Amino acid sequence: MAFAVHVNMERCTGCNNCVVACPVDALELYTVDPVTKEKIYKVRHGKAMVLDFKSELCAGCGVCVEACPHDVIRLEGRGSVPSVAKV
Amino acid sequence: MTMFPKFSKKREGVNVIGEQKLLQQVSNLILNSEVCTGCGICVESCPEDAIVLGLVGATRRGAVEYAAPVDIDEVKCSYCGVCVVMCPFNALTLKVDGEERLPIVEKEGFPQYDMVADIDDEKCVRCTICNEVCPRDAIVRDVPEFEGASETGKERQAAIQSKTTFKVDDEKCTLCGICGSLCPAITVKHKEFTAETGKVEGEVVWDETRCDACGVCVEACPEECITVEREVISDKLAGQVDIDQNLCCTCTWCSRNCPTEAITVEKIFEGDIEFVAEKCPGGCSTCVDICPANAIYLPSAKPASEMKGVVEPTIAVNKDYCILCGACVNACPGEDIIRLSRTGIRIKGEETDLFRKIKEKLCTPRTSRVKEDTQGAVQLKMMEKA
Repeated sequence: MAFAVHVNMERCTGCNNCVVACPVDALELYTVDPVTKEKIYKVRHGKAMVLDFKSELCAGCGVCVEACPHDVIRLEGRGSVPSVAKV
Repeated sequence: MTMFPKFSKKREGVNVIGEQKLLQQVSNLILNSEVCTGCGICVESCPEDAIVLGLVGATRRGAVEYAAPVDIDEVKCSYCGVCVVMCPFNALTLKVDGEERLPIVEKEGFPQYDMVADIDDEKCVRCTICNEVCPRDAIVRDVPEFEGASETGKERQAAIQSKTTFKVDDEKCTLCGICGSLCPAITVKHKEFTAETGKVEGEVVWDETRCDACGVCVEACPEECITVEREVISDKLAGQVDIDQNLCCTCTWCSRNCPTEAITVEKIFEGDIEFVAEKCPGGCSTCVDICPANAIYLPSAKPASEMKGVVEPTIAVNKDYCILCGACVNACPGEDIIRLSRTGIRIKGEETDLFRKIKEKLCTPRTSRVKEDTQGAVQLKMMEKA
């Protein structure tokens, strides 16, 4: 595990920008079927959406943070100040 | 329960301050998180392994503000000062009881970088190039500002030392007033017109300090009675241009671009860097954004006719300017894209055993890796020595 990525899913719109921007493909966006909990790719009203993250791939480059139009991604690692309020 | 030592860490603006409180002594290690480039030389220099690399890419490109590129464990740290000496960017300061000290140098001895960054004052023509190209703002250009650069600057004729002579042939001059109306350096003073003489009388008054010998008066004079001559005593601008040794990273941008070759810069590290562009996903540009020496670039597109059978590189480095600090390797999210191998370090002072150990670590070739297993820290892939 390298870095932790916290995404405020309340405010995430599922635009997919971060997934496309990530140079190491550490991010994956999908929606889940509410019944079977299976991954599906059709966003339903933008909710029940999951942004998956493989932290062992994250090198902390910050590309996703810059790509996010709604500023909902927060990177955490050694040397970062613990978040006061949850982003 | 023991009262001492007590440890604490706090953030004050751009500084992250670690503190060790002993009964009779307080040591502080201060990291300036804005100056820090995430090169990681402190990480490898630390005898206590107290420093780890954090979010180098994200912090240096300015995507996150709440983190520093490196994290110093204030408890593990022995406050010896090795990192302070080894930091090529002077981002660290060690204070013992509020005073800047380097215990490692005072107690055991430790070599220092033999940095060369000088400007030959004789050769320097005080131009602006070094100041503009320096990626670290290390050039101190103490030259008066003139009106070309700022509206409140000095008048341009004050820039060079010269002797100007202005002559009016009184025989020919009709005191027409044209020269005075054109130029702020000339005033045509007419005497009061009286019927007693019934003539236009007066004189042409010239102020040398305002004259820049442009010659417009000579050309505009209908009687061709003005001559202006300028003899330049010295065309060198006043002032001085210097390199701030604390800020200079020895990238050689200034010395390679100095038109009069007045600057001498010797890099701290010797070695090689290689970019394997085929492996770079392209477009992330993390290394370009964070390079403290502005040595990495995204190659501009070439016309298709020149690209027969060639894949356009996505990333490249200008080795002339690379200082082999390693920040790009630490920030690169990919693997095997940037390969850095240092072969030597320029130092002054005697090599100690500790320094030799650090040198060996720093001279181990490395690249970045994709899969990492330590939480919250950047890890590198060390390679075999070539």
